[in-house]
Amino acid sequence: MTTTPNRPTTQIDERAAPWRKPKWGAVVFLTIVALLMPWVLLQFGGGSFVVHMLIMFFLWSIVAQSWNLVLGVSGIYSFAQLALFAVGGWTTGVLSMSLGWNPWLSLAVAPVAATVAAIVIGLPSLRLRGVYVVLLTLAFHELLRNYAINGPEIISGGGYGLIGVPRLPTGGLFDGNHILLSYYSGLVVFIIATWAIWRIFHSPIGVAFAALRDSEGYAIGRGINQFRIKLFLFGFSAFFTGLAGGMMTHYLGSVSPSIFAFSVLINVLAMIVIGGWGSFGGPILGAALLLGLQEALRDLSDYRTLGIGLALALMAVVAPQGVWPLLRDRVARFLAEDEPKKSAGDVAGEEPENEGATDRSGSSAGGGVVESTPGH
Amino acid sequence: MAVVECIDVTKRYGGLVAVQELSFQVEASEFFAIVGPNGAGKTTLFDTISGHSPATSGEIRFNGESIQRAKPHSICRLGLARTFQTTTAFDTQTVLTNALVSAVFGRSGRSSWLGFDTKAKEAALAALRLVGLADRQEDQAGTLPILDRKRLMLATALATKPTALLLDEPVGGLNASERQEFIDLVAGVAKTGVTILMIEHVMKAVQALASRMLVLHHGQKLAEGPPAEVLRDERVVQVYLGGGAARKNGNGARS
Repeated sequence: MTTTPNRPTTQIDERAAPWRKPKWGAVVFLTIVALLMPWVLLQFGGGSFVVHMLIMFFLWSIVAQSWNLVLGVSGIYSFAQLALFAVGGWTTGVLSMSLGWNPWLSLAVAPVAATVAAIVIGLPSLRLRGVYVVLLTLAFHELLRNYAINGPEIISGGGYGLIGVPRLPTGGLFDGNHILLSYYSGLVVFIIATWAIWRIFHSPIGVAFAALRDSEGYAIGRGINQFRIKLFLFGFSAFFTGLAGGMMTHYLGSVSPSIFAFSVLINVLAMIVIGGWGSFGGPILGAALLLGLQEALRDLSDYRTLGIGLALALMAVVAPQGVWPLLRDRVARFLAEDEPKKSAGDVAGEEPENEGATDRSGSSAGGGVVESTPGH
Repeated sequence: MAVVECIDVTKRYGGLVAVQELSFQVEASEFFAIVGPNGAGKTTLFDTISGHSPATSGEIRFNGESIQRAKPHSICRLGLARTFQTTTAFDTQTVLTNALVSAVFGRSGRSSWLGFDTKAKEAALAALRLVGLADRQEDQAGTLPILDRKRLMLATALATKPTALLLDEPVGGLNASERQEFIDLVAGVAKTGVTILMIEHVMKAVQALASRMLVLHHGQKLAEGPPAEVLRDERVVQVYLGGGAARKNGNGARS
């Protein structure tokens, strides 16, 4: 049993482990800031616009984070995320507007509908690989877009979508201010979704996503049930996306087929790519950057998409792994330099903090282990 | 009782018969080597046993249970783990995480998707210690040199707590000194009582490790028995080592 000498290291090296302790200080601080933010902002003129942007940030970053789990962490090129967002938006829109449901109740149905839709498209895509997943999911996107334009009146609104969707009733809270209600409900959903995704990143399930991406044949040979794992992935990422879609519909009071526009798809994709493909913080930072960039480029109107396209191309060349990993390394290096002088060669702090399932794109060369994996 | 048992196993790819009505059994704690020229169907045989590419017909039993229709993940969880000919790892993950994920999902019994339990941590760490990677936990698997990648692939298999191991060319691609190191490592693993099936071209490794061996040729069994006997078999020498090597006394096929 002892062919190799027992090396001195006999403990688990916590830095190498996928689990992390939450930085509670930062969480509490940010939560307090987020809670106080609107009260402070609304004291100033134009403050309500900033609150509006924050609501947009909460909802879009949920979509970007969910999509990143599929695209970045698991390396499955599904482009159905906006269609699932729309499923959530339309479900609650139709239920509350045409059927007269209480918006809170119909909103609760939105994530369920999106999850069911995701499982329906997830099942066939589980048997497909690479570009065929792109084709199938884009076909689903296009199908829904057509239906949203040409479908029955209660869904298509004659091609204009749903206009005049009731707002979420405040029930007397916030003096009936629906922006504040949207802000706080958006914040709550944002915190829950982000927390759930953070948990996934640092637990076996998240590592399994990355393992299947790195090498599928190897991963299933180590006991990973890819069918169940991927079904969970599709369902989970759709759940919060659908919920965000539903909240968006009630917040804006409308949902239109323009949500299916290519520019919207590229925009969310850019949040993930610019922020940091496959990393936990990337899509959150990316959502903030992109929403900011969009506002900054507002005067360019049609050229805005071009500008975002250029930013994407630039990122691909300059920092392919995205802004978040770059910042993370900078901070790690800065902290390392701050520590009492060790030997000059000591680079302990320079190693990128390995966030479990993070890092690098899905273009791992590890594939091609097994000849084929039929029946999966 | 046989641990791994193949009964008339056939694997067909369209018109090509890669493995043809092959039968053999491997007893508990045995070290069983499978050799044969390239294209003889060795890796295909492993793919059918591990469930990666199910057999066309025939039966495969593991501890008496039919597994020829089982999925790879459930076969692994039954206690039958394999390594691959192409050295593979979860490249974007650390050495420790590679072992942990295998320990969580590969061991039998229930495991949580949301937490790494103590038993999984222990299994992962024990496997890394056994192969000598316990002080390399933080390294990114993709950056490891080939010998360490091979060790890691063995460690992830061990982390699943297998009762039988399929090793596909464990010392392929290694230089002479690395090869010896790895042979010693595999011998150490065998000593723990794990049943081992090993595909190997390097005769030195086969002779050092195997108690019994099987020669495959065109998907069929050519010979089976203790290495000393099988390697003297004239047909084996002819097919496997080639006529020239036969004259030169057959000192190791590809070394």
